[in-house]
Amino acid sequence: MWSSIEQILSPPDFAQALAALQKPGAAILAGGSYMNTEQNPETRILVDVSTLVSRDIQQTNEFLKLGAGLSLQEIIEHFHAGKPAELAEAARQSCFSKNIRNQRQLGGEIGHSRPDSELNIYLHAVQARLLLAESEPVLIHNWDGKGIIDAVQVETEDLRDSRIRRFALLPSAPAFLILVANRRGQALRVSLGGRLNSIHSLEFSCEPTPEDIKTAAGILSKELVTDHYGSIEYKHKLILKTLSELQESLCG
Amino acid sequence: MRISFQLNGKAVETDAHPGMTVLEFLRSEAFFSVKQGCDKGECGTCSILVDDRCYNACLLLLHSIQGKRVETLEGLNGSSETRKLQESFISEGAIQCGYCTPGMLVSLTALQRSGEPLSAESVRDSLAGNLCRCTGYLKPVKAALEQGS
Repeated sequence: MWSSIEQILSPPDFAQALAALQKPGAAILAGGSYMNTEQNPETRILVDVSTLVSRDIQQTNEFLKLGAGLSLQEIIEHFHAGKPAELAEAARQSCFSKNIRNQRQLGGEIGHSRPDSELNIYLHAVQARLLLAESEPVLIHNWDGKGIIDAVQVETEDLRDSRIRRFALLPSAPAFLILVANRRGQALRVSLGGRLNSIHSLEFSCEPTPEDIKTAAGILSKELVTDHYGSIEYKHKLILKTLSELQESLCG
Repeated sequence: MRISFQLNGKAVETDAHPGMTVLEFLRSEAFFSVKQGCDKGECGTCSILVDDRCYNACLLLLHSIQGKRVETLEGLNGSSETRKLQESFISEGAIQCGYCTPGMLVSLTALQRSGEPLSAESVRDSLAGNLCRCTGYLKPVKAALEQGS
């Protein structure tokens, strides 16, 4: 029982939902899988936006638009046989339980800014744009966490060539390091997550010198800690090696 | 908070605390096939069907099932799809302590209803959220495939 919850509001539109979120102790409820696990005792009002946010998938020559209300499982089912296949793969790797994938929604995955979510890292690497309710769109890495995400949009150009690499004790276990690289023209954008405090992204040329890759690995690995998955040195080398592989695979 | 939904084919209307989970409600109504395990969505022993998809009842607030169709193993027991699965589990010896079995049967029923082709991969993907420390999954996977063959 989440005993601190006094009220669940189901506003009819975004304007009223945003107004309700101004109340002390208010939080957004969509899928609710993360929130129900945490059951923050300071949350007193839940604002249910599940009927307001988009659940559509729109794919044109210019962009791909995903409704924030799509569940991870719906994303997998839509993209597993089509392009971009990496999107379905990232959604599957983000959570191995199909039960939870049925509940967990795209908006919540981004809203919780979890660095251990492959889908989140992927969306950073492809420079997804967040379409916020009653606000201007914002790039995912510039978002301040405020407002309600209605949909996510990625330019088709950014969906052509990307790779995901994850390192975990078992294929189905949460990854301690996640690297997603995306090539656009002659630029290579790499986002790093896993058991870190935040997601790191970096952009460099598609023809980097070994020194450039070393510098990039150094920057990306600045938050690494020694734990039971390995030492800082081990993880640093893992990043360095993976960056070279990704560069070879996407630009070679 | 007033909530109405369909439970195992019957209309239900109830007053509940807004922070109540579906797991807490179902167990309070003696639907004991929905077991309380980790309460964090990790073990899947509280698996239920909501509009034919499998969910962990511990992660779902009662509010979220407003107007939806909910099924537990008690309701699925009468269906031929689940009965075939149960018989296959028995004949393959896919049950040991049995604590995870209701959740597995619910997950596999959802797989059948999804129309996804039955394969070792799709069965394992469906059971990935159902923690079992006895069987090693070999026999449950075999039972699911045998039943579908």
